[in-house]
Amino acid sequence: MNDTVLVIEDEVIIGELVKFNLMMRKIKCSIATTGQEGIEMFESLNPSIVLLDIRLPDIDGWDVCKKIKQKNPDSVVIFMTAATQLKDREIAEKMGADDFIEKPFDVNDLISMVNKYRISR
Amino acid sequence: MNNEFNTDSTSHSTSATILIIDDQPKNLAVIGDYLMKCGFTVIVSQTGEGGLWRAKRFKPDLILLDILMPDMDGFETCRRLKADESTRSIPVIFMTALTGVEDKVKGFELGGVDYITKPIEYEEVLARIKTHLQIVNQKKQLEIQASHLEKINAQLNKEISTRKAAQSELKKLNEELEHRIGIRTEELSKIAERLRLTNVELQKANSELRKIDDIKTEFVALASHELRTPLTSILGYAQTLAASDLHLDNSTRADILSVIVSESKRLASLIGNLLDISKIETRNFRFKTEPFDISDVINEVISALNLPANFPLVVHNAISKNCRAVGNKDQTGQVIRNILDNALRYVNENGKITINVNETEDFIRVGISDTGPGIKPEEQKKIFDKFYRIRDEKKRSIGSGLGLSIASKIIASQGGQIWVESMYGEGATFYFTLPKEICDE
Repeated sequence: MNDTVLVIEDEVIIGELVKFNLMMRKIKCSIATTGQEGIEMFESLNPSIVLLDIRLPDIDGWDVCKKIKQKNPDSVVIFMTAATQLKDREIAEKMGADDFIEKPFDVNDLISMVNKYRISR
Repeated sequence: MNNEFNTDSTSHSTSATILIIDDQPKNLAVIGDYLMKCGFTVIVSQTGEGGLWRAKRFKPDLILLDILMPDMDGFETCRRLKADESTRSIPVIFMTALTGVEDKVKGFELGGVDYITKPIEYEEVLARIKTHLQIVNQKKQLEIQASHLEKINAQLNKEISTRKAAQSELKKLNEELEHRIGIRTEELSKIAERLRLTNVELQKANSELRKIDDIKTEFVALASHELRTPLTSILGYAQTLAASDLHLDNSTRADILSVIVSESKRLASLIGNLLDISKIETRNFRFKTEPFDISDVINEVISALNLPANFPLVVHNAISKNCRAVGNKDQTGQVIRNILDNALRYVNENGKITINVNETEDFIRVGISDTGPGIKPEEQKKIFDKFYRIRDEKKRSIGSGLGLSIASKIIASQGGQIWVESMYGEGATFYFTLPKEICDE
């Protein structure tokens, strides 16, 4: 696994926000804007952490999570989502999600969360 | 004295009373004595008149009547006896010396039961008396039985008529009951039918409400999701600017600020659009409909866009001078503005926009064409859905995803149609129609 973060987010402006903040703190980061692209990039980059949106234009975040966990159960999947209904969380947990951060999120909280999972491995 | 002669075995005759009517005292004595010896009670009379009186008075069981008497003969006496109700049933035996057939016939005709000829043969008299008493007795018994039977019959008849009455009463009650049951059943079935209809209506209303509720729930979920996205970038970029550990240069800061500004604008327009759509969807807002000039509206919208003077936007108006559309002017303006916003977003520097206005028999049709990237067939279906956005080449979706949804709802509410025609890669044309004003030429 590589010490890199993969952001799978269709809202480019948010993907860029996360990437900018991680890069400025010397954390490697790549962006995918569809589920399919995310899975492909996961295979090629083998990142230790995936930041994942639920609503994606092609495949939804839950299925992306399931596929990622099948490929590498050790990678950490954190959902970034505006949909905070309990049902969404339950589904995400069943699909093997490790953590959640709710939109709109505090950028500092997001960075702390990413750092926590980087240190803990 | 009676007891003394009660040697005869015919006990039934002992109590019998016999009236003898004869003008000859000697005859009376001889027959009377003999009969008394036989155990009968004997009453005698020497005249017909006296005999009638005694018969009435003592009600004898049998009368021996002499035919030949001086004042009133036996025939007359018999006639009178038979004429009187109270003596009619007493059997009369004529005593006669006459042997003529005519007298016997006359005697029978007058109601006599028998006759005996003088000189009297006692045994014969006794035998005839006994026979007739027996007959009388039997007759009486028969009468008693008959009357008994009659009584029973009457009772039975009474019973029958009582039962018949009860039965008819029952029948009547039954019929009434059936009638009432019929009425009640009919009423109940009417009520049941009404209930069924009410139920159907309620179910319909309920499913309608549930549908509206589902739409609202989905709308709220989508809206909150859509609102969170610009908020996330505004908050995130503002925090990035404020972060003390990042030493950002001025040009980066300026870039970030411009993102914050544009995202704030996007949020504001999104909120405005959400309010519009909720107004249209809840139908709380009824727009006034009136005839208006479509060219005026198009020109107003274009001038409000503040486009550069040389911007390639052309309007071709092919409708006759007096032809007016029917709808809400402001709402139609918003439809045109939303479509133009989209077109402007997708055309590049060399692109152009053309607006064509045509008329059919009943409608005015507006077509807005752009030279943008066009729309894929699968996206053409979804393009009027709420929050559906087409992503551009740089995978950057723009707009609220509500503009066309709002346009489609406005056009539908005004009785028109909206659709898109596009070849992917060769631009797109959005059409909408509005009813034409009916004018007498």
